[in-house]
Amino acid sequence: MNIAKSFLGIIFLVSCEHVTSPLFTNTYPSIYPDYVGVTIPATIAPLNFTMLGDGIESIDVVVKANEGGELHESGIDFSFSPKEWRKILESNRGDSIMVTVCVKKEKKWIQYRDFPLYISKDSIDYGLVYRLVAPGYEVYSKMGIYQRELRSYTQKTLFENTLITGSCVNCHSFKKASPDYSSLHVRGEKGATIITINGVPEFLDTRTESTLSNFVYPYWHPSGKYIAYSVNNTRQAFHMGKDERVEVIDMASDIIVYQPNTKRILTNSLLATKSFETFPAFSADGRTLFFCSADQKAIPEEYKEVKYSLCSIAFDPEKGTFGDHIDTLISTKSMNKSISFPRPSYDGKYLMFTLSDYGNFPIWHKEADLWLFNLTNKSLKRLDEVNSNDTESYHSWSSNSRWFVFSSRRDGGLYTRLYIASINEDGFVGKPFLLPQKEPLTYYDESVYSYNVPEFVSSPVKWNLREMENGLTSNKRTHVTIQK
Amino acid sequence: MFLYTSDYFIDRISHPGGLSDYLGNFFIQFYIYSWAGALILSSLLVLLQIMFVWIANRMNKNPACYPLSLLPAIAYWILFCDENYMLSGLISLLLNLFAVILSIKISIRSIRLISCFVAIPILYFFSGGCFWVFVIFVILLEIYYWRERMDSRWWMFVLTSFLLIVFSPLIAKCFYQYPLERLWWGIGFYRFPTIPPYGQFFVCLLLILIPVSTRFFPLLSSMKKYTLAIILQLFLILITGTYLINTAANWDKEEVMGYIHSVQMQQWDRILVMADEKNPTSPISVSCLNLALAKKSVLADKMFSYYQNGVEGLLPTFERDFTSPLSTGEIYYHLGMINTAQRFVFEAMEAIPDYQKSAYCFKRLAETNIINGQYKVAGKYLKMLKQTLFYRSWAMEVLAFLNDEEKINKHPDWGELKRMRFKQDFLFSANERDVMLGLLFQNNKSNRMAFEYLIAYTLLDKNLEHFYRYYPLGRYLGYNHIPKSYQEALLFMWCQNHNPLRERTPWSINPKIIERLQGYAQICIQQKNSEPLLRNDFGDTYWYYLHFRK
Repeated sequence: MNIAKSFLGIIFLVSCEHVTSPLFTNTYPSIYPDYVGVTIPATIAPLNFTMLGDGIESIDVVVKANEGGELHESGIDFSFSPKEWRKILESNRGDSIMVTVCVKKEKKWIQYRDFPLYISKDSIDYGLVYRLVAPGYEVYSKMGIYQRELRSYTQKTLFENTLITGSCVNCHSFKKASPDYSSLHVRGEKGATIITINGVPEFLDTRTESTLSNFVYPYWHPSGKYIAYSVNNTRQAFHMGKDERVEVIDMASDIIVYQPNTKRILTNSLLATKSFETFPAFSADGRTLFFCSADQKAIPEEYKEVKYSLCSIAFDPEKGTFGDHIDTLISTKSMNKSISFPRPSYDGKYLMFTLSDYGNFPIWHKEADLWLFNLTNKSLKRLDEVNSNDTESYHSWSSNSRWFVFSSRRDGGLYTRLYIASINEDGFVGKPFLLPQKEPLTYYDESVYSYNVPEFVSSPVKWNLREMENGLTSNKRTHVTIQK
Repeated sequence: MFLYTSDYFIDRISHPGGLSDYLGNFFIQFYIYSWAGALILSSLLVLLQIMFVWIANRMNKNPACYPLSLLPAIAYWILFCDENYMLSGLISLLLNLFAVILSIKISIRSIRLISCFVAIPILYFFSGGCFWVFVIFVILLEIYYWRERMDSRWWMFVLTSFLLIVFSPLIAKCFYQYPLERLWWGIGFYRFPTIPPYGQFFVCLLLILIPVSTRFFPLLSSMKKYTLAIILQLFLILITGTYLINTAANWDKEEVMGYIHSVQMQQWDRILVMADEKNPTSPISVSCLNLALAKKSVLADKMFSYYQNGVEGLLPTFERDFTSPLSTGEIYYHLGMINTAQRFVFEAMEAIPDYQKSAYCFKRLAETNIINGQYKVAGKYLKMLKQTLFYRSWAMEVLAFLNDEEKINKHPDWGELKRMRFKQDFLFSANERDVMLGLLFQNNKSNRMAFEYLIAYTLLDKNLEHFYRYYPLGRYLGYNHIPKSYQEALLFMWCQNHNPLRERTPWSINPKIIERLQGYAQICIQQKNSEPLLRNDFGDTYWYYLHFRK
């Protein structure tokens, strides 16, 4: 046994190349993904990366920590040992680790400038739930809702549309990252809105004579007793210019609040006007309902004039009633832009939104960026730390409000990828990092799906697939009614 | 699309029937050449017959029944006349028959039964829904070939095998998100997932029933009777098979698929030959023909020499299927409406019912993204095409174009299309295709195809006012004569208020066309039911289309 181990050790030593007499260069290595200077949680899966460029014969990566600990990997295709990675990160929470990258080209070693990885002291949730769907137009093929554990590369299929042939799944939503409260739309012949509370699913037919459509964009009340939805009459249009593709336009939209235990829809005339009201989101204390509102315009002629303001209305969770007036928090007139996806942080401090030139479907707008609204001092800040020259769109907060995940098309312009960024108690936002994969370059290159609607979950989602399938195929639905 | 990567292999075989799927896709990539597709199909059908004969002879050697061994292969041939029966179904059957042959090689009974028992779930996982055929054959061979005693081991084997048939899909249900019925009958055997492959069941039943039933046929000792039996069977199979294959084939669909394929391969001359042999009438076929006419610069002269069915035969409306947007997308591509071409081809690929991807669509998407300057997106598609057999060298060649604007501008197709595409952005309007064509032509006045499509649109829409308004736009396009269909339309309009015998037209109209219009008018005036006569003599004119085509 000892002889075998020694033999293996010799093979290992012989096969490992050591860095000898490297030429130093004061530039950061050109790596994919760009993890130089990112802030990461201590429990994140290893941030494997690839050195970009031709003629690379070998890579040598050394990760060193202030509090001791070292990780060393080498080879043409390397990946960090998950166990060692976890150890070094955990022991350096709140600190940084330095990464030294050496590359062998034309038989000579080049050593790049060391770059830091900042290990946040703030923890992050268990995982992310997102939809994977092709970035298409009207027709869809395979899609599904998936759960990704953040401490590993494990992606689990929660619901795939192969289960109910021809269906479309969208708008999954959880109450403050808790998978015990979830809402999911399944569209198609056997469609329903599935609301699962503490493991018990309910299959709703959410159409009523008084509302525009089935429920669309969801947001849970922090108590779990209400879910705000928009109802939308939406159509797509297609650009003819080379830099654009799709426009998604609401012909009409309103907001309702659904009460699961009574199966009733709460409405208010202030939320169902001729204007386009959409994207409801409850405040952290549940006493305010934020939403976006735009003046009605002739569609499609004036589609570029549809610009959404950020508004709010008071909400009484004990009585299930609304305030008597709408407050405009950020007017489109002041910015001449359009606000989408208002998302309050769960600690009540901030509200993040996406800003684009017009409209309410910013994933197709290259100019769309993330902004942060401070709910205390009402200041506005464009998140230059995380924005790019391409689309930044859907975003959501971790349960402790110290991280946010967002969709971005900076990697190529069509296929949406997920980035995670930290925001500390002082509002300092760290450089975001791309969701890690075991072989990121191959994985993202070969994937023909976009990541959609990323949401944090604090623990694994436990949807009962058999119940969901049986419920959907049975065609038995609970019909929602309007509260008079 | 078949990729030569380990990730693709793992992805494809990671569900029940995945190996059948994988092998099916491997062979389907060769369908890019229709002769190769025919060769593959016929070879696999012959293999089916050979394997079946080998097994059936072990159950019952009755030489006089040999022609019946052709029935399963012929039945599958009939199934393949429906293009939605996937090759993976036949491969699944072949894999199971191969497993049966292997089982016959094991002479020791206990080893054979244990091996077969172990093979059942393996066959279910790799070959999919036909795995029960293996079990039935093994049982029948035990009875008729090995003639083993039906002792407790035997009954244990039969019982547990049937339990495995029942439970394999049920266990798979715990791991795979498919309806149970699809896990039973095979996930990818029929392109439309909600339709069970009933035809395949029938073939499987044939495979089992033929050797069992022929056991009851008498053995023919007389050479005369034997020869007569063979001839009679072959004759009946030939007549019935020919009739059924002919009936099963949807020749109209075959014609449409032929046109679409030719458009994809840019075989314009071939399309014209096909149309000359038999005038197409479906909108998609006619739209393919019109595209070919435009690419050969004879659209304006010859379009009415063929059947036209309105604007849908020029620029068909988008349909949510996986074939018609392909050819319609090609029309938009060649016109220079790159975004629309991109959309149509993307939608066609997304509409494939079994969620497969298409290498052809990836190629076209790479090109549209190159033309639009979306090099990273194009690069993604090209890197995937590099992993294919037939697009690899093209992809490698094209990767060198990325980010090289000068090289792209000099490309004979892409450079031209870049110059022709819209410079201003606006929204596509399906109800205003003529307006978009007009804008496209205004965008680049050397886009002859856009002009001809615009004029063709007005003529097909019977909007002579718009025809007259737009027609002068083409004066600088280098025509050496006014195209025939334009002359006919102009002359017709002129004659509403002028007498062509006394007044000269302001355009250079061929005297023969004037003469023909006179003849046409005469028949119209003199004959009560003039349509049949006019169709014969003037069916190739715009006037006939104007008056009689709906």
